Amino acid sequence: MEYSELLRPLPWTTPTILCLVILALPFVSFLLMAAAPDSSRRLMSWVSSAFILIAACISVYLLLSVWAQPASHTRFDWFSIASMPQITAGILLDINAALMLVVVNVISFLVHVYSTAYMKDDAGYKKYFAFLGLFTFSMLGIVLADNLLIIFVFWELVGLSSYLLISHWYQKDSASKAAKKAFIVNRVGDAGFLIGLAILWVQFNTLDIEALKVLMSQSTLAGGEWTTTLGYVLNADWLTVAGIGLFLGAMGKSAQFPLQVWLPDAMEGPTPVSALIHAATMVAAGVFLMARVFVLLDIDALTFVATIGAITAFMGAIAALTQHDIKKVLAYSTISQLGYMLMGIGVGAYDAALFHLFTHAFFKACLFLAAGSVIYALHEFEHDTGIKFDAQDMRNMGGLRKKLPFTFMAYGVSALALIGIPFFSGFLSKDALLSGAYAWADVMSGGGFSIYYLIPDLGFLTVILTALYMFRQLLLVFFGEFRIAAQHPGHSLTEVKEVPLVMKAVLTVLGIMSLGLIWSINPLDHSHSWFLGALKAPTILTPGFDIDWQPRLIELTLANHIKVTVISMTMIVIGALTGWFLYKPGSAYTKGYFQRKNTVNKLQALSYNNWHLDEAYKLIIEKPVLWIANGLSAFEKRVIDKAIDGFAVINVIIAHLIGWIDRMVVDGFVNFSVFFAGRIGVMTKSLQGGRVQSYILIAVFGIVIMIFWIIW
Amino acid sequence: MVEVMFYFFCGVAVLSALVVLFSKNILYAAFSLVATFMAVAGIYVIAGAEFVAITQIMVYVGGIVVLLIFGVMLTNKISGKAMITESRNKFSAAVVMTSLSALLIYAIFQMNFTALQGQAWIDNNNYKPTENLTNINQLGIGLMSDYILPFEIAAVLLLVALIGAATIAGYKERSDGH
Amino acid sequence: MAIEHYFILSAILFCIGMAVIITKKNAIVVLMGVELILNAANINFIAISQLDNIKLGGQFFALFVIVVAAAEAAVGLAIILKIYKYFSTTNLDEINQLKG
Repeated sequence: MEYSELLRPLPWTTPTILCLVILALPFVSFLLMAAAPDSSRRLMSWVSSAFILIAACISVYLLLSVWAQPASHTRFDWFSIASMPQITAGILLDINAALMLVVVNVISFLVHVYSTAYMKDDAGYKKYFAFLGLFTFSMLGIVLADNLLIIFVFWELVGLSSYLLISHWYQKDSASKAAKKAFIVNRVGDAGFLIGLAILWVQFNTLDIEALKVLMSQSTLAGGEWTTTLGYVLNADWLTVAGIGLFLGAMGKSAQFPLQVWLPDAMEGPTPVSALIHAATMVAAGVFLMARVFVLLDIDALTFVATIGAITAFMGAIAALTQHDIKKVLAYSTISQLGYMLMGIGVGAYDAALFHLFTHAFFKACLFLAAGSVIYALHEFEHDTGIKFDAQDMRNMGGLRKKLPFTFMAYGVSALALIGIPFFSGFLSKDALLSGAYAWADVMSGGGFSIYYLIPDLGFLTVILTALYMFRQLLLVFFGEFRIAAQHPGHSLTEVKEVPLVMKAVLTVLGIMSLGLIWSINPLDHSHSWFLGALKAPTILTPGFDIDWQPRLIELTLANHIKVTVISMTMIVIGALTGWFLYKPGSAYTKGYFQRKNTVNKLQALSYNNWHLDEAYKLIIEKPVLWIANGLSAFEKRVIDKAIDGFAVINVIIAHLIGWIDRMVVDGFVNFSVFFAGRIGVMTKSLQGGRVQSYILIAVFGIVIMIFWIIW
Repeated sequence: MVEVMFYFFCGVAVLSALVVLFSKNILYAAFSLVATFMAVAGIYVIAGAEFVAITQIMVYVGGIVVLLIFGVMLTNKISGKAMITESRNKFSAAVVMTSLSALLIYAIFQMNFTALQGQAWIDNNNYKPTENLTNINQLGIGLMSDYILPFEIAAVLLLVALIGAATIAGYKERSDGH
Repeated sequence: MAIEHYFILSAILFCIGMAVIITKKNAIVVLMGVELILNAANINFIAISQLDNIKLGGQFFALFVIVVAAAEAAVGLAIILKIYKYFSTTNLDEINQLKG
């Protein structure tokens, strides 16, 4: 097919124009907040919340209108380079983009509303809301763009706005460091993303997703060579490399092993921002990107994705076990859940992965905002009583269920959803994911036992751990005695006040969204979910892909469903019981918890420090880089500088030599000619010394010559 | 006899002229100049120009040389010492003048004056004067006839020179009263 | 005597007069040189006039030359006196106002 046909401009339609409106609204909000005077910041924050609300409403409308409809696609020529095909831009609104729009806008709206209360006394209020708008705008750009190049642009914008928001309290050294870390770690992933884009560009000369799909399906893989219909030939390995490259981008943004280190540190930002990052915008971008390019991945790339996802899920869950910071626990749990999602993508459970993305978006937002409420309440408590303590440290909490019943409710519901208890949304999506993973292992190992089973096994293990760390947090925060108050007699729990109404309202909405009934008529069976009904995994178009692979997956997923549910239920029970016995009020752990150090033994240190990844990076990247840099600097000082100095010295010597030659030869010649001319001048001058007799002498001499000439 | 007289006068003229040239004393030079003029006057006589010879003696010896001596007196502080003049350009002047005189003498010898002389001799012989006139008579007639205009101009010239010399050298009252 | 001998005497006197003009530093002596040269010229006129006994053009010319020489000597000496008053010297080396 010709490029002109593939990349022909597509007209604007009502849905795509509405998409443009949705895209514009947060940006306008950003500009408004940036331009608004500081005195009107309260009003303006509500205006920008209203903007996002409008965007959310339009997204819901769009979701309903594109339901079970073909995708709306608008495309226009952007620019062209030499004889290359046109670079196009446009908006691609398919079902998962529409769903993503709803998630992003709704959660962004809720975060906006929540922030009006949470951030009300913050000095950077205006800046904060402006960047929220920018963040939402960038994320919507990723969702709507039809071109990987534009996605990349918005991808970087997301990186930028996350940087700006994480470093909101930039006066704090840790906050600016965390922002830097997030930014730099993301760059590592982006490098991979760029490599993926470069390979696709070289092979297909376009980055338009729809065109790529067509071209990819027409390309062939034979004899170790990957050939496109246009005659471009690459080694077959590059197909896998392209997929892994794109996944590297997702690894950065979605905090996958080994790039997950930035996410826990990003907790330095305000809690609503954490909610936004974890639920709707930043980390979801990676998963969404993988869903967009899902059909362009080959089996090796998919296996790689699944492996990384499973490892991340397990590592995140382990790290979450021993954290003492209420937000850190949630951060590691996010890493773990993102691992699940990407494992889902990798095992071909595309629909389950997206489903988990959406359910997770709501319950994780709810968890974060509830945690934010706890922190908010404790800040108020700290303020009222004058006791100095860390409002985010779980060692200072306990028994808050009595004073913050509403927050407890919201937190409980979303925590249960995260654990995957039936009747909650997490159960459905996680069940679908694990079924898919299990089916994938079956398919890949071809009936027998193989190493592929490690992937679903890691998933199941993570279920236990999830239940364990969530129960731990729930018990430590909301049950038992209020430890900080118990240490300071005279202050009682009664002084902890419930959060403002606005925050409660937000928590309510999110809590409701965490219930299973919202997502499926039969809350025990994910296959009855309206959501999964709409989301069907697209057929993978990569050349050389086994056509039977996907149907067999679906078949086996359905067949394994009951088995997987039973296993995961068992796992949850194991985890929950372990948690209960370890952390129940009055247990040995809770009694000594207030005085507990960060870590007590090596194993805990491993978990608490997130598998020592930071130290590992320090050891294997920072140290060698520094060592090389120091070496190079020393080399430069000793060798290059010396060489340059020597060169300079030689130059000076040569210059002196040339100067000498100049003085002696060139100047000498000039001086001599001047001297010569001077002497001639003096000689001729003496003839005209004003002595008339000399003139006469010369005249006579002339006469002599004349006579001589005449008579001869 | 006439030839001896001629060469004698020639020798006196040249030698006294050389004294003028080589003498450092101005007065010696002036007096040897008198000798030169006298010798030249003698040569005029030999050449048959008696009037010119007399005029030469009167004007030169009696006038110009006296004038020159007065000039020497007026331009030197009289202090009993001889009045000395320095020479310069000696070498180059000697070279140029020697070569010039050699050239001139060479050229004179190269010229054939005999033919000219012969023609003049014929003309002179063909001329038959009606009256026997002396040299002075001839000059007087000539000055009053053919050469009347140059004669008058010469008179005016002398007058102008007289007035001019007096004006130039004359004592001038300074404007500041000295 | 051949007429050449007059010419040779004239040439020698001319050269001596010229040499006096060139070498002497005293202005009056230079004036003497000028008179010598005029005499040399007169000798030539007189010698030539021998060839023309009737018209005597040479003698007339010699007379006028003597007249002019007298005028010249008078004016020249007057100028030398003036110069002496002005520069307090008659040394031509010190009177070099024509120097460029």
